Amino acid sequence: MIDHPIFKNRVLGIGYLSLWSFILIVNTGLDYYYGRAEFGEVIITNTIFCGVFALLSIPLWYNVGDCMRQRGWWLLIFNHLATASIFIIVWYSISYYVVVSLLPEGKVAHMPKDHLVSFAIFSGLMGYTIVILSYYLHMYSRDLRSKHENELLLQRSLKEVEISMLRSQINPHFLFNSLNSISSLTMIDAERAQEMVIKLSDYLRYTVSQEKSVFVTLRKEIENLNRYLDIEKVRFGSKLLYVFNVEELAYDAEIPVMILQPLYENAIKHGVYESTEPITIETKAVMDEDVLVVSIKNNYQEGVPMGKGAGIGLRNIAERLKLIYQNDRLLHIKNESSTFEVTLIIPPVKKEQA
Amino acid sequence: MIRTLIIDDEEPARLLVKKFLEPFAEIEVVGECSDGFLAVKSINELKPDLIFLDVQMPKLSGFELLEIIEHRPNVIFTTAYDSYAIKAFDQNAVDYLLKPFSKERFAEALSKVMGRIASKVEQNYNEVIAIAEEKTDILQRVAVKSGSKIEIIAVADIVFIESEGDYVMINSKGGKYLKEKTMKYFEQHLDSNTFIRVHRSFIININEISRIELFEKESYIIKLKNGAQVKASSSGYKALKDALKL
Repeated sequence: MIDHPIFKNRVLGIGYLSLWSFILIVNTGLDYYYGRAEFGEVIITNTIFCGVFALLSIPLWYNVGDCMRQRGWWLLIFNHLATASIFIIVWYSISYYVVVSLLPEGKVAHMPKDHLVSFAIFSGLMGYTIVILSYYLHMYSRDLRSKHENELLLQRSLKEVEISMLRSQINPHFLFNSLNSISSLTMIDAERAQEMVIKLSDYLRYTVSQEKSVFVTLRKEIENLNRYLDIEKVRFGSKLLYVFNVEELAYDAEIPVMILQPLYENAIKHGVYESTEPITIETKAVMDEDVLVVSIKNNYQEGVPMGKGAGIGLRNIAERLKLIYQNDRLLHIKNESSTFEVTLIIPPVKKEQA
Repeated sequence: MIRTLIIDDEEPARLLVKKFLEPFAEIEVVGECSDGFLAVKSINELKPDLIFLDVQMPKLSGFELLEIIEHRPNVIFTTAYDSYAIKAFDQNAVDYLLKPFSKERFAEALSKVMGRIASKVEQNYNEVIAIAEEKTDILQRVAVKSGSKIEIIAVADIVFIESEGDYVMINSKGGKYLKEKTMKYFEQHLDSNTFIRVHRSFIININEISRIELFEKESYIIKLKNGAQVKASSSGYKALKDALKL
């Protein structure tokens, strides 16, 4: 396909044709009214002058494209003056000779020379200016649109980077408090201390090594969540309880890596941490045909506000799901009678995403 | 004997402090507390000479706790990760331990405090509290003393706040409480979408408004759902109109 807006876009093509038809009709009308020539002659003359102009205007698009890339006003003005002169000479000569050969006895053939030249320059320049300006207008609006689209694209990829950073970020509170627990355990129970060091290492290894892959099985995620919760259990003791109810089939479902982690961190930060009573984190995962539905529920102590910190983590998860699955209805939050529940709907992985 | 109280919500952390204290014969551990509420009670009852205080705790943070206790013990702060608090500690030469900490670091902090106790120099941590408060962005709760009890007011339950000289009167759904704080402090630390300072003496919760009436030229009366009425100045009314998107 030719790289020209009137061929690429049906609306613009029809628009171009209608515009020239309109000009033709107006010109013919005026010419007939004031010109005192025969109607058939007027139509033929105007159709040829307009038609040749319309055809010759098409390649002007490329010249405008070149001008957009050029720098310097003088060069630009020179370019247009030169193009306009050549354009007018070519347009007028072709049209004139065609009309005269078709209508040797017509009005055009008997017009005085200076009359013809002034008509050519006046209408030629006017038409040239209109065509060039509309090309410029179209080019600017097109560039503006593509700039906007590029910006959106850039923003999206930036978000992705941001999210992957967030994903691999390890909560320093968690890390240092866990190390402190280990430090304490070494004094009172060396074996448990060793166990915890192993768990913490496995957890950290999983977190840093998963950066490149996008999807993992739910089984792997839950293994890692268990490590995380075991470590936190050492810190919080009987205050932290957790249950996993996972349907056998669901274990093999693929989910975005580390997408569940922030939900447990939230449950601990806002539920366990702010509470003086035991908090249970309950995880349920079922398959609804080929869609995985995971819900994570925790109770919390009345009067403890689920602070705005929770919002950021949830927003990130929603954002990630939206980017991966192009669907913004995959995260649902329920907060009632001191229970906070988040449900994630994970569609099956399409080939091109994996 | 230096009577010592250990305050931390994590058991392993308390155990470690206790373990590290063992070699010091002059230290007597009089108790352990797993949350801020218990700690306030224990401090007021046991009047310890020294407390180990975790900054992040459920219900009542270490700083909130210091604000409402009557007895003022020496404090060694402990924290895992809180860059603001650490900066505040450093600026004010307050003793603190970064978790996890070594035995040497622990002994160093302890001997400094013991020296101070021996020479009866009082520790001043008001500055630290002030800095920590500065850095708290938006309040979620307010701790107040009411008689011998401590009340935690959820911010959403505050109907309006009235200035009372050096104090403010917090009118919440549960009752009225006096707090030694400025109007400016609350103006800065309450969510500005919900709480509007409508008058020099009043901050109101816009969710608690039942109606607004013109009182005189340029001044308005706001009737609240609990029956109370507050005045609004013309600039306060303008701020309120913006918040309500009128």
